[in-house]
Amino acid sequence: MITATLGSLFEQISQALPKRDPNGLKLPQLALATATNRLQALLDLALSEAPVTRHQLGQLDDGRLSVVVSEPAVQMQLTVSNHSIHLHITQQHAEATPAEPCRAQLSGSASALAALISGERTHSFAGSGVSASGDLVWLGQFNALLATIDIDWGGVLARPFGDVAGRLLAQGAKTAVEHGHRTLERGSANAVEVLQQEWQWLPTRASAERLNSQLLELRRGADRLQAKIDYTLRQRQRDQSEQT
Amino acid sequence: MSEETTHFGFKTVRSEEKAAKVADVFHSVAAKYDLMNDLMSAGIHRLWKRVTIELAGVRRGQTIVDIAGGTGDLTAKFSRLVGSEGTVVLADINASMLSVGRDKLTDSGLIDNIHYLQADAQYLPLPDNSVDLITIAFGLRNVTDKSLALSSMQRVLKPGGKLLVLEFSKPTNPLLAKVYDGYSFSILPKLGQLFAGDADSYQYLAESIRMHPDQQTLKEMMSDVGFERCDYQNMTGGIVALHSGVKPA
Repeated sequence: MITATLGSLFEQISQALPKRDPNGLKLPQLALATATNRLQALLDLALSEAPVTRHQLGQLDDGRLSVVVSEPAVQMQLTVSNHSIHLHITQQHAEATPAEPCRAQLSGSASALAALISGERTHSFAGSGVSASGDLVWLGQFNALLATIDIDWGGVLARPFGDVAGRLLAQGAKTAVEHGHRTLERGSANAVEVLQQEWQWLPTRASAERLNSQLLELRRGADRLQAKIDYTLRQRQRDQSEQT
Repeated sequence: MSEETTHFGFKTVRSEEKAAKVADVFHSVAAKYDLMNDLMSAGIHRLWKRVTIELAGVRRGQTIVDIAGGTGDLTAKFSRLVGSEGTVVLADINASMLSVGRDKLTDSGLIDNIHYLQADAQYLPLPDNSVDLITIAFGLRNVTDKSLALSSMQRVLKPGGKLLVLEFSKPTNPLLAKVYDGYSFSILPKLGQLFAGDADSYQYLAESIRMHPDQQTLKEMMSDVGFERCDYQNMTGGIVALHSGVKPA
């Protein structure tokens, strides 16, 4: 009797407690939308402060670049039209959007795409982990155009803070960034040195090269062995067919 | 001859009477509308609107219509986002609300890209395929024929344009629903009486929320008039839901 009453009470309480709502606020979607809006605002600011790039953008044919990121699974679309770039980011597993023609497409992992963007500009995607398709000439022009964005931060900061303070702030920020870069480079070199020399967790460059050449030798040896085995097998098959 | 009827809160009225009755409510509350929104929702309505703005994905140069825009909370944000190349139309059927909204936005210095339109959501006086985004926040439940209004919005949206409906809805948790009912029918009219000197209007607010279609029904209504990719997200346990739909490209 008591057990049944307690069971019924427990059931009533558990029904009243909040449950996960499948139609609750979709936080990943909201976060993605917020990030997209902020990136778009930055892009708009960059273009408004870089008149040369904006002018070149006007000369570029309209089109849409689709960037498909495999990990995390998101799709980014950059649409060039009317002197501006519109950004649109969606989760790939989100409800399919109508197929819209893209002028060019880039696909790869986020790290490969980031390395491509942050690395030196090259004329080839070979070995970058990123594949490109579509109008590659247009893609090259678009890429070159983005590389020319040169924002006059002094001018941007001068508006709220005044000419002198704006220039000083921009100069200070530039110095701080350069100092940060140098510190980071020195820090990473020191860390590698400690790991290699002091703790010997990582092989030195010379031992790594030695290992590399030994591996190369081993691979060549394996290739030769494979070739000899193939030759012997073929020879045996020929002998057997001649005997029969 | 049978007369077409609709609900006005829990009362049943002739369809042609509803607009005038709703207008009376909003004429009465217009002056204290913002204060009452903050009081009634403990400021949470600002978060609901923030989420709506983020999910709207507004871009510079777009044309946006904020239907039942009232005192212009969404319009103010959209005006900054679309920039000088874009346009925001603050539409409301009620002249008093529109007037309060216009004064507030003008006082905030937002004048160059905002247009004001006194219009019925059921018969929007705008060209076909001319708008990138339509929002209607806490307005659809006051419309006499909701399907007609949704059709009208669908007509003026550009192909690929988006509709966002932010509206009170049905709490998904029974415990929250009971607390919410108690608050709506006991405390809300008293707050209305105390701060706006009008208990009846806030009684109507509570009743109109209960008579509004639930989340799934509204989603189906949007699909029925031709929107695609219809979806909704509950906020604050379903007290409010944000519905979205896209006009087929």
